[in-house]
Amino acid sequence: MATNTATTPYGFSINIGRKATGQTFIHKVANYMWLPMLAMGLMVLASTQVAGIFQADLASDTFPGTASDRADLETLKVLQPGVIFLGVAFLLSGISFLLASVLGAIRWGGGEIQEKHASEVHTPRMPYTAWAFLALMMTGLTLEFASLGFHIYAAVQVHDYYITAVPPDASALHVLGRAETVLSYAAPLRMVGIGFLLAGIVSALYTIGNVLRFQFDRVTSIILNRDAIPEGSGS
Amino acid sequence: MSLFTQITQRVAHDRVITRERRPALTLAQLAGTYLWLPMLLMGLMALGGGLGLGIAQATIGADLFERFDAGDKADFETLRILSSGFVVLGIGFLLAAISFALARIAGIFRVGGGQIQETAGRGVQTLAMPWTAWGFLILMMMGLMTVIAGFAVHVIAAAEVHDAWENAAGPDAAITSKLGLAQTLTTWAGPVARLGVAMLFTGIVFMLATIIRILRFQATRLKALATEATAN
Repeated sequence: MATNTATTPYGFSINIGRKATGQTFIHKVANYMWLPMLAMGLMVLASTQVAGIFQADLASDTFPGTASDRADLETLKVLQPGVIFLGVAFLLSGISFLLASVLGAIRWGGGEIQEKHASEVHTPRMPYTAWAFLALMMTGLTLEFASLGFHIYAAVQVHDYYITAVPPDASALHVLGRAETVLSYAAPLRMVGIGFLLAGIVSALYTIGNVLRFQFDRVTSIILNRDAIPEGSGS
Repeated sequence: MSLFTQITQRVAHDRVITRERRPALTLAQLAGTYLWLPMLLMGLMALGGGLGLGIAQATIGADLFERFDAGDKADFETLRILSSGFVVLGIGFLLAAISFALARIAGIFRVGGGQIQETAGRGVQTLAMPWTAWGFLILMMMGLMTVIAGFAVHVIAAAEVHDAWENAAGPDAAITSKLGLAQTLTTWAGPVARLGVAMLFTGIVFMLATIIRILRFQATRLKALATEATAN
């Protein structure tokens, strides 16, 4: 079956064929992945809640307490934000996958309607904004993992500092300095990761808007019995 | 009719406007069409700025814990506050970009739905702006302003903390009054900026509720058009 390609005013080109093509591989992945992402996000956040309760319990015994208790407390304090932000990143990835799933549903539904009511099926090809969405989402999630790595490294340093004695040995202050330095990188990095995920969501919403514009114009063409490529509604 | 009944009816029922031609975008939807990209870019730039300041802070911090220097300490503390201000501002702009992108989608539904009804040769029915859309507008604007106010307070606190440390003789010799003011300001600024972020998130929920109303209305309208066409 021959498939032609044409450009459109919506920021993507289209394939023209006789049959609806269904969802792409990415849409199918998104249909299955949003729930695991959501579940992982909730589990991570719930685990930080439990760790927070443990940390609070530890804090009530630590002043005054042993060097080991203080070291555990300070370690948990440093780890907590890195893990929380990873949980939030999983939740935002869940939202991103759901938006990709919405795009897949629009593509599938649009194809089915055209196959039944029109002589040609116009299917959008993956626009650059959808690629940008994927890249931004994956970069955001990777940055959150990198930030967690920084937090784990800083937590180890903090533990090494506070385990020395009560109060901590002044000669080991450079270890705390190392932790502070690493955390100075990690704190903005985890927000940048969240920023990338949010930018990915913006990109997905823009793509959904463009696909909807295309479909409204396509339905209008079908009502008018025309197969010409729509000129766009200008919105 | 009691005031309560009037309010619940107004909240629960959609007001429909019938006209002959397809409607144009509302002002909020037009703003959404043009403003989502500048907001996205500003958000990414603010986050990039925050990351850059964090890297500068880390570079200074590496030396500071080896040997105290008042100038380095002043820069370290200033950059810490500025960096967190910039990242919250960036997140605020990105949430505003999501809000505008959603408003754009609502506009596409409005114009596209009207276009199809007009082509079908029937009266063009559109939803009057529902209360959820008004709520979205108010929350988005207030949220963005609150985030920007939080950022401004971060900047003031950063200036105060710099003054507190720049001439300090040792690690415990900052000017207490300036340090106290800086800490008070940052204690306020953090929750205020987060309140702004919460308002933006709530605004996004309101816009999603508006889009659900639009979809429900359009599904009903499509069914009515199909029934009319079959009857004719």
